[in-house]
Amino acid sequence: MARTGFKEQWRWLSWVLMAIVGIAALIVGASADGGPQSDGERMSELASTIRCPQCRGQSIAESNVAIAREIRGDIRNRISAGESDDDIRQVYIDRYGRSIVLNPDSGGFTGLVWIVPVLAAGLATAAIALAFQRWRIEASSIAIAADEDHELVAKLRRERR
Amino acid sequence: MNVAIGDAGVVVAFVASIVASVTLLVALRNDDARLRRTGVQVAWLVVIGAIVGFVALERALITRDFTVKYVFDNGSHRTPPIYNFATAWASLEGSILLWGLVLAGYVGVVLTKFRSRIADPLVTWALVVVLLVTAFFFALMLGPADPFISVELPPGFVDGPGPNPLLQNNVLMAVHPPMLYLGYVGFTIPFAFAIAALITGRVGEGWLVETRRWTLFAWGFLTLGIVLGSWWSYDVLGWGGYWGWDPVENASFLPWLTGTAYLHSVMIQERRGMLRVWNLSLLCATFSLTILGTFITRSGVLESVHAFSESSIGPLFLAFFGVIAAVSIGLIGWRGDRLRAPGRIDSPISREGSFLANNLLFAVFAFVILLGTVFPLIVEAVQDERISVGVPYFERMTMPVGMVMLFLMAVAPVLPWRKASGELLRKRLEWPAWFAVASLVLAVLVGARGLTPLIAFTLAGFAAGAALRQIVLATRRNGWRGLVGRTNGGMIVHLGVIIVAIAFAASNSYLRQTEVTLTTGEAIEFADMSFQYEGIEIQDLAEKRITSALVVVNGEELRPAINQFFSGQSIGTPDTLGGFTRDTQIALIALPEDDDQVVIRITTQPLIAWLWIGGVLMAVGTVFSAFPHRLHRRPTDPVSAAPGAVGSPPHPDADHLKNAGDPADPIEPVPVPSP
Amino acid sequence: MKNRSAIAAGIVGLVLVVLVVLLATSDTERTGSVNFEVVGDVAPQIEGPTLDGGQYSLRAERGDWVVVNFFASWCVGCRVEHPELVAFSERHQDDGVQIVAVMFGDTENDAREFFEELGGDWPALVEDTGSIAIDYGVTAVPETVLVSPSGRVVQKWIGARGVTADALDAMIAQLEGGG
Repeated sequence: MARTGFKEQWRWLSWVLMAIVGIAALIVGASADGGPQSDGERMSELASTIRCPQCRGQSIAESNVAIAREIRGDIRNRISAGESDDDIRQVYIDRYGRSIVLNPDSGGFTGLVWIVPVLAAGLATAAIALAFQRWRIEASSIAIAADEDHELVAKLRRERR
Repeated sequence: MNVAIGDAGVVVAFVASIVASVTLLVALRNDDARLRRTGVQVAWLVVIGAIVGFVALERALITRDFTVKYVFDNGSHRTPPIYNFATAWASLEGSILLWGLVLAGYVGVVLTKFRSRIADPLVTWALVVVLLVTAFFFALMLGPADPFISVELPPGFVDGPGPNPLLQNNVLMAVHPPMLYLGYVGFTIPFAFAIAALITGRVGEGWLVETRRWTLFAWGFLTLGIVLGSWWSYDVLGWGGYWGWDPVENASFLPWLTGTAYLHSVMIQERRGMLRVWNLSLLCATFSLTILGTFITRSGVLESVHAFSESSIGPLFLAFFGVIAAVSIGLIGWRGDRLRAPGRIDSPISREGSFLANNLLFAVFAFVILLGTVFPLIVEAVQDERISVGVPYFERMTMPVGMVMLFLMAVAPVLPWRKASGELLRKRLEWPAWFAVASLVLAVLVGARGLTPLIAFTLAGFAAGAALRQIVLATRRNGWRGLVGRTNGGMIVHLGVIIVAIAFAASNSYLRQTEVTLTTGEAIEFADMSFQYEGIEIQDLAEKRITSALVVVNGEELRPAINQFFSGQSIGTPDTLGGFTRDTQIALIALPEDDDQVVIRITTQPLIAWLWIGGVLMAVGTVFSAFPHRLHRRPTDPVSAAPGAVGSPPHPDADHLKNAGDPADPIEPVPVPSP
Repeated sequence: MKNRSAIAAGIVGLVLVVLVVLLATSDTERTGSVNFEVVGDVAPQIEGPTLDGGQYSLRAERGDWVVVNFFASWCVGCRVEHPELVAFSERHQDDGVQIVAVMFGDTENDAREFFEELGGDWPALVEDTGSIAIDYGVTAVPETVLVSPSGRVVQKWIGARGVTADALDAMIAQLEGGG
C-alpha cells in the first residue's frame, strides 16, 4: 500500500521527464533540417503541383507523355536560371490557363473549397459542444435532486443517533 | 451456345429477382406464409441464374469463343491463363456481371442465414431491398451492359486484341477488382437492413447486431481492395506514387470513410441506444456512395487516370444513385423523429464522447474529399472557368484531420464509458505517452527530420501505445481470446492503420527522386546508392514485347521495362528494389532511341513495404474482430423473434444486460490481482 | 424542433439534388487537352537553328503570314497533315505566306528522316524546342497556329483536323478580307 502511494506521488515526475525528452527530441529533429533542397528535388516538388495538360488527372511529375517531359525539362531550366517557384507556376498559368495548377486559388469563389470544410468542421464542433452543454444542464438538474437526497439521508442519520 | 446459356442465366436472374421481390411484398401485405415460401424459392433462382451467367462468360473466355462479342473485344489466344480468367472483369459488361454474381451470392447467404426467420418483416423487407438492387444490375445486363452479344466472325479472323494491357500487366489487377466488389457490394446488406428498419419502424437495436458482422465483412474487403489498388498503382506508375487523390480513388475512399465512421458510432447505439438516425444515415450514405463511385468510374464526368471503361451506363448509375438517395432521405425524414431515442452523453471525455469526435472527423474528412472531387464541376457551372483540385489541396486539407485522428486513436481506447477523471487518464495514458516519446526519439535517431513528419510519428507512437496496451491487458487476462472480439480485433485494425499512417508520412516526406540519362557502362551515385546502366534487353512473349534496361543498383540487378502489347498499347513497367526499410524504384521513361542511352527515373523512399503490411494487418484485425470474444447467446434473438416487440422502445435494463458480458471494455475495472 | 429529422433530411436532399443535377449536366466529353490561351496574343518569339543549318527568327518575318506547325515523327496526325502542308507551301513560294515547323518531343535524327520521307522544304527547328512549345501552350502534337503579318496569333488548330492547304488559304483570305 505504501509502495503504491509512493508511486502515485512520483508519477508527475514521469510526465515531466517525458515532456523534457520529447521537446528535446523535437527541437533536434525539427531544427536540423535535411539541408537545402537540391534543384532536382525542387523540380519534383513543383512538378507535382502542375497538371499534365494532355493526361487525365495526373500531374506532370507522374506522367511520361511528351508534354510532361517537356515541362519538366522547362522547369529544370527555369530553376537553374534562378526563377522562383511562383514565377514558374505563373508562366504555365499564362500559357495553359488556371486549370494547369492542381492547387486551387485561395481567393474569390474558388476560395470556398478551402473555407467551406473549415466552416463545416467548426459548425459541427459547435453543435456537438452545444449538445454537451444541454446534456450537462439535464444532468445537473438530476444532481441537485441528489444533493437533496444526501441532506435527507444525513438528517435521518442525525435523528437516529 | 455460350451466348444462349449466358443470356438465359441473366434473364432468369433478372426475372427471378423481380418476381421474388413482388411475391415477398404481397406476402408481407397479406402475411401469407405460403407465398413467402414461394418468394424465397424464386429468390434462389437469382443465385442460380447469376452463377450460370458467370460460368458461361468464363467458359467463353477459356475456350476462346470469339463469337461472343465480349470475348471478341477482350479475349486473345495470347493472354496467359490467369489474366484470361480475370478478363471476365476487365471490361464493363463483365464487371457488371461480376457485381451481379457477388450480389446474388449475398442474396444466397441472406437466404441461408435467415432461413428460420424469414417471416420476420424486417428480414423480408431487407430481402426485398437486396433483390431490387439485384434487379437493377441484371437489368443493366439486359440492356446497355449486355455481356452476351453474338458476333459474326469477319473472314480471316485470327485472334482478338486481349484485355486492356494495364489489366494484364500486373497480377494485382486480377485480384483488386473482386476485392473491391466484395466490399462495395457487401454494403448492400447493411443498407437493406437499414431501409427495412426504417420501413418497419423497428426501433430495437436488433437489426444492428444482425448486420454488424456483414458491415465488418464488407469493410474488410473494401480495405483490402483499396490497399491492393494502391499497391498496383505503386507497381505500375513508376514515380513512387500509390495514392493520387484521383476522383476514382476518392470515390472508393468515400464509402470507406463513412463505413468506418459507422463501425465506430454503432457502438454508441448498441451501448446507449443513441444516434439511431445518424447510424442509419451513415449506412445509407455508404451504400449511395458506392453507387456514386461507380458512376464516377463509368462516366467521364471527372478526369481520372482510372476511368477505364466509360460508357453510356453512367447516367443509369446516376439515376440509381438519385433513387437510393431519395428513398433513404425520404424514409429518414419520415421516420427519423420516431426513431430518436432520448439519451445523453455525460461527458465529452468518455468513450461515447470520443466516438462522437471520431464521427465528426470522419464526416469532415469525407466532406473535404467529396467537395474537392466535385469542386471543379461547381466552379465550371458557376463561373464557366476551369480549375483543378489535386494532390496539394487534398494533402493540405486532410493532413490536420489525420493528425487529430491519430491523437484520438491514442486517447479513445483508454477512455471508459460514461465519464473519465483526469487521474484515470493520467494513469492509463502514461505508458502510451512514453511509447510516443520513444518513437519520436527513435525517429530522430534514425535521421528523420522536419516538424510535420515527426509530429505524425509521435502521435502514431502514442496511438500504437494505446492499442498495444489494450491488447496486452486483454491477452494477459484472456489468453489468445484477448486478440479476438470487437475491441481487441479493433485494436489490431488500429495498429494496421497506424502502420499505414507512419509509412504514408515517411514515404511522402522523405521521397527522393531524380531523372538521369545514362550511357552503357555509366554509373551514378544517388541517395547513397550506386546505379550502373548495363544495356538494353529485348524479350518477345506471346502477347507483348518487353524492352528492359539492365541497371545494377548496389550489386542487385533491376530491369525497368516498357511492355509493348501487340494490341498497340505500351505500358511502363518499373522495377523495384524492395525492403523493409526502403524501396528504390527505377522506371524507364521512354523507349530508348539508341541502345547506348536510356533515360531513367530513380525514386527512393522509406517504409513503402509497411503500407501493404499495415493493410494486411487491418484485414487480419477485421477478421479477429468478427469472432465473438466470448461464446454467448445472441443477445437479440428474442427481440427479433417476437413480433410483439415491434415498436417497443428498448428497455434500459435489457440494454444494460446485453452489455453486461460485453467484451467492449474489459479493461475498465483493471482488477489486477496483486500477489 | 419537433421534426428535426425532416428538416435535416430536406437540407441534405436539396444539396444532393444540386449534386445530381451538376453531375448530370456536366459534359462527359472532357476537353482538358484543348488550350486556346495563346490565340489573340502577340506571337511568342521562335528562334534557333534549323535542320538545314540556318538560323530562324519569327520576329524577322513580320509582315508575312506564318503557319507554325508543331510536329513529331512518331505522331500519326502529323503524318496525316504533312502532305497538306507540302501542298500549301508549294502554292505559296514567294508571296508572304510561309511555314515554320517546330519539333516536339522528338530527336533531330528522326525529324530529319521525317522530312526526307515526306518532303517539305520549310525551316524546321529542332533544338531545345520544349520552351517554344510551352510558350504556345502546346499539349500534344500536332498543333498548328497561324501568325498574322502584325505578329499576332490569330488561329489555332489542335490535331490534324482542319489543317489542309485549302482550309489554311480560306482562313487567311477570310482574315485578310475582314481585317
